[in-house]
Amino acid sequence: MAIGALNNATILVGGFNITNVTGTIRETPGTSALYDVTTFGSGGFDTNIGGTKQGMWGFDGYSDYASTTGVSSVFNSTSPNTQYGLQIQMPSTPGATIAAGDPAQVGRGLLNRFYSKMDVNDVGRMQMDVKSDTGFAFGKVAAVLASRTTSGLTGTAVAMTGPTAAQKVYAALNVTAAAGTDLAVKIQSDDNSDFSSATDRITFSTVSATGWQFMSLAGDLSTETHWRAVATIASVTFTFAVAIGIA
Amino acid sequence: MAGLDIKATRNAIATVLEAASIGQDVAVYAYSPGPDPDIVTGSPAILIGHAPGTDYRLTFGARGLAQLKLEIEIRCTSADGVSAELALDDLLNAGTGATSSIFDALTADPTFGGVVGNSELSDPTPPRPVRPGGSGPVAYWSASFTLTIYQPRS
Repeated sequence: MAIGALNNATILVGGFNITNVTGTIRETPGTSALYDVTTFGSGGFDTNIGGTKQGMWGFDGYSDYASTTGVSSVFNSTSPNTQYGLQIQMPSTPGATIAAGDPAQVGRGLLNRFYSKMDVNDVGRMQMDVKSDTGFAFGKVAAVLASRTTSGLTGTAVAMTGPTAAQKVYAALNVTAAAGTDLAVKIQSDDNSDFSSATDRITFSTVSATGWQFMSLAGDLSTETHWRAVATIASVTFTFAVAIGIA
Repeated sequence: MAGLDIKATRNAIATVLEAASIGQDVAVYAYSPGPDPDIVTGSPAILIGHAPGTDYRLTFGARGLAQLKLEIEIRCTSADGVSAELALDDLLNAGTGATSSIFDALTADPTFGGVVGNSELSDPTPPRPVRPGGSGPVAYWSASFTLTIYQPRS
């Protein structure tokens, strides 16, 4: 990704697209719990050992109280501790349209804060934080957010080396609109961009409603060099996006 | 919804002010009344112009929120000065009993008939005498508001 102003992104939390109400993305991918194990033998220094890793996504933007669709109605007092799969897609060239292969982040977490600030005579503002409860992975866009029909999707081959034995591949599917039945999405990999010997790696559950799924796969797949999303739709249309990450 | 249309926005604001029965014979200018902006044509006069702070990207995405800052300037002239100040105060009134309120006119419908998504009127400046060129007799008294427009780009 080139250095430049980030003025385009797609931000999906669960089955909701919060792109157009978000003006700031805050990421903290690298916090970890440190445990003090200082002893008399520590030579006068604190001795710490690393504990669990934790990441967090934060989104700052503007309130929208439109019933059932506005961010301030969708996320409310019942939302904390709700689990969401999320993905953030960004263009590789600042200002360009997001395409398959562009940078993305995928993860899953618990919404631990939703905050509204409403000053008189000021536009309402919101903040939300999602703390990861599993992988926080940097990766690539497999399918941009778009409405798709029964023609389905055979995604663009995305060059990305598969996970080592110590890593996992993570994939997020976010469905923001559903007007039909049976959206089936899977992630395939291959050792060539033509996908001449494609192998299904992750198969999401078939759905007929908005929502999200977040899945992972462990194992040494480091000889796999290309990944893609493939989807079939039994009827009408679905709007969805897919991103894949390795961590 | 259409994107940010500055000309349509300024004209819509002018229409609202003209239709608000401000009580005085107010001349509203969506654009400069003449080649010299220091020359007041009619009195009182309301001039709509740009203010610092326009931001085309408050949020991400093709439908991202844009912010347009406008200045609503009110000018009043009079030979004795006091009449100008009184006329300005009348226009700066608000709420019950204020029949010439610019604040009430511009906040009754913050979308100006659906031309913009939302707006807020803020930062009124105190009336001040204006001497074009910085010296000489007072040409008019001036006060202004900042009008912030919020509109998705598509």
